[in-house]
Amino acid sequence: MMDIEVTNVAKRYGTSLAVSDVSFGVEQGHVLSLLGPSGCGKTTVMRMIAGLIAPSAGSIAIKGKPVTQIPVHKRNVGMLFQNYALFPHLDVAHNIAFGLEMRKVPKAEALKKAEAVLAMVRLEAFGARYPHQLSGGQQQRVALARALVIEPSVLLLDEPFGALDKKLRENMQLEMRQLQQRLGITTLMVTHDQDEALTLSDRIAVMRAGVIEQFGTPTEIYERPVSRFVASFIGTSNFFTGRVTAKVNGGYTVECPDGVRLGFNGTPPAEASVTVALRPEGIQVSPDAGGDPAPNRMRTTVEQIVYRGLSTHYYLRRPTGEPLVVVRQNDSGADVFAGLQPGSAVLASWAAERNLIVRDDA
Amino acid sequence: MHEGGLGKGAILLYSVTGVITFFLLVPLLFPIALSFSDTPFVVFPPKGFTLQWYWKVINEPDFTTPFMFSVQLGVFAAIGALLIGTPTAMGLTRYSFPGRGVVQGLVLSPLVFPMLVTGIALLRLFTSINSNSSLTNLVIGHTLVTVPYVIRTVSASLLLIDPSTEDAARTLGANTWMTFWRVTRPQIVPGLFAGGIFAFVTSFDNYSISMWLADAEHFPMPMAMFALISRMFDPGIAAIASLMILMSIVIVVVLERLTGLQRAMSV
Repeated sequence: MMDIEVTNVAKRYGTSLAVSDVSFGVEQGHVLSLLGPSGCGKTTVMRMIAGLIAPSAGSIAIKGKPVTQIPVHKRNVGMLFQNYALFPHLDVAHNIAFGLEMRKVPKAEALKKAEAVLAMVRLEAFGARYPHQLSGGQQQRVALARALVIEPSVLLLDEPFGALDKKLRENMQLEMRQLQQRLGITTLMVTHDQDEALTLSDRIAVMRAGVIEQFGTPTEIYERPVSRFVASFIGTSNFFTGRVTAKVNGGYTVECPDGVRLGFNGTPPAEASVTVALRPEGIQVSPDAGGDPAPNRMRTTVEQIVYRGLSTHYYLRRPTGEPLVVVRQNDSGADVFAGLQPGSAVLASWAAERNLIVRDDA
Repeated sequence: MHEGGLGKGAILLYSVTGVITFFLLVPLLFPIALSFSDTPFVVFPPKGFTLQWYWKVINEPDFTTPFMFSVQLGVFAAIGALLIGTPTAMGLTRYSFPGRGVVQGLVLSPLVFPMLVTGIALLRLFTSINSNSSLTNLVIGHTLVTVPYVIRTVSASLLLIDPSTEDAARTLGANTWMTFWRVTRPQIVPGLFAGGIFAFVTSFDNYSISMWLADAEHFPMPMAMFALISRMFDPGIAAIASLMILMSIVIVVVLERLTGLQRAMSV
């Protein structure tokens, strides 16, 4: 069952289209991330689901009930704002009790429930504090408690971790995910942070310029990007453009203008000219032993080496001058990578299944 | 030189500030000094010391009646200005719509428009619609000229608060009115308070609107003072002026204590 259903929704501001014809669903208990660069329309979509702005076209349903015509205060959504949006004039307990009071819950009972929810986010002793007396992480927990205490149909998170520093952000992400899974609450999250989307989501919708570019599981999005935009926005990719040439037994070859050949398994695509994405972690590097140019091999020179702790990034240069990025985990002992220096001539090679044909929309 | 010190320019700066303060305060200190004079006429320098003039004026119906009327008028005008000005400020700060600049200019125009002209215009209007209640006319006139103060102070307060707190309230189930009353209003108290005080003081001080709309039963304080000064020669008139100054000081202190004058004035 779909807890959130968005059908052909569009939002127009004057003559510009912020969101055009977006449709997707969020399954019960799932976390869906709307991922995209700023200005792609992801926040607009979320605010339309919350009811804070009205769509120009299309319809929205929450838990199977059409809500397009229902005002925000009757939609029963829990929303977490980027800056938490706690009420500065109310203490923590009254912040949390606010939504219950609006539902005509008697004040004493509302405050008692607020206590219980505060325990859930591990802030039992903080009921009498005011928001400005709390740290960023504590404020976020209060905001989460305030959104959850009304037992919302769905939870909406608007860039929820953007204001926290890296360490705290990672802790809060894990905590949020655990809580979400324990409560089984259907969640929609807006983010521009690909790591956040990959960490927290069951499904990701990558948005660009008001449309959904790709919808899928985190694995699908990362391993099977459909377009050049997705391949470069989530993770990094090397790109090749070439023409489909030789059709060999059980596969085919794409030949680039500089002579590099990319070997594929399976049936060739219908187009004659294609764009190929190649993830940097799929490339091996070995000493340049010369020899015949084979498919999925390329002679390069090392341009720059950047040590990043967990991994090392090698910026190679192809004979044509185009860059080729290789990423390697720093997990094994001394090997061929150890002796590499800027200027070294190396041979880059990769397996055929690493070549991904993507739509070129750059 | 310690941090934040003024260095060599300090002497010059202090002298200039001192001179300006002197020129601002002397005219105010003058009537205060005169009001204690133990002479039947206003004389300078004052002679002796007495509080009899204060006693006299607070028992003088020609002073107390207009004073009480002006307080009443000022309260009505302040309430009217808050009721009209607050929603106006909300609309102007929270929404963008075609012609917002024009509306903004229009609602603030009483600040720059000569009040004398506004007064005549109102008189003509009230005459032509047969609005004969002087009190109603005065309240409307005073509300009109005090509304811009409320709009400016409330707008300033609204710009300081986080609009997403209003969005949060709405998602939590508050309708438009509850959102305003429970979330917006408590956060803009300084602006409401300052706007109300400015409206009251402006109304209390107003002559140029009142002179067209007042009648014998509805006679505001500034007009009464003007009438009194032409027939009163004892230091009682100085005592009245001193009481007015005292009232202003009380208002400034209260405003400073409750909201911070600097913050309330920020526009």
